[in-house]
Amino acid sequence: MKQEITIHLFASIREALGRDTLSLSLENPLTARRIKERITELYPLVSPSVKASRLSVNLEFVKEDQELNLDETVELALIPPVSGG
Amino acid sequence: MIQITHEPLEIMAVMKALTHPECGAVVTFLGVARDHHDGKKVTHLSYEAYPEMALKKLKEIRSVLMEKYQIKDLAILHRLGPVGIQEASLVVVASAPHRAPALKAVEEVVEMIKSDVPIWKKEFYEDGSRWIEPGI
Repeated sequence: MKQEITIHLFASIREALGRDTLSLSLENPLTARRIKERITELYPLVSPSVKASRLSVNLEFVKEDQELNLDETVELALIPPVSGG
Repeated sequence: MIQITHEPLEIMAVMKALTHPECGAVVTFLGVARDHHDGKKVTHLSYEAYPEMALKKLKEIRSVLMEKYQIKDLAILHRLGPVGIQEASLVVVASAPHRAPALKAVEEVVEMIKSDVPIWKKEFYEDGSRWIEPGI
């Protein structure tokens, strides 16, 4: 079964794609790994950054292969390697 | 005190706010924009954040480290948007009765920010710019 998800984008990925969010349609089960693979399929130019990024769900990092049960209120974000401080 | 702001960081005000009568040590770290990186001249920096998650992570860091080091108070302020050379992008202040826990707490705050807080730095040069992405 396919699920529609929206992912918030930041920094180099946001800039390269020229957008703050990305909407995808993916078959369940959803994992961070599969979401990232789909994004790199669609946008190979940002592949290195996407591969090195982590996914957050409702402001928490999730593990690559953790199965995600997402409802409509969920907030997803693709977090490139951070460089604050 | 946890703050993410586009305004210049008020370093003296934060230090003053973190002094308490029972604290003999107030430790301050400033992360300051540097004029070079990898042999290139840096003209300025710019920071972007995922604000809700960055605030959440900073609050967690503060909570965990105050508990770990049993310090009295801890402030973390990060600036967003353009930051000029010699301007502070990060202010961390810890206060405690004695210096050892405060010094350790400040050091660990900086390490934790640099590994897990969703804030990103963009460096600008005379001939271009790039996002800093450790490990890529």
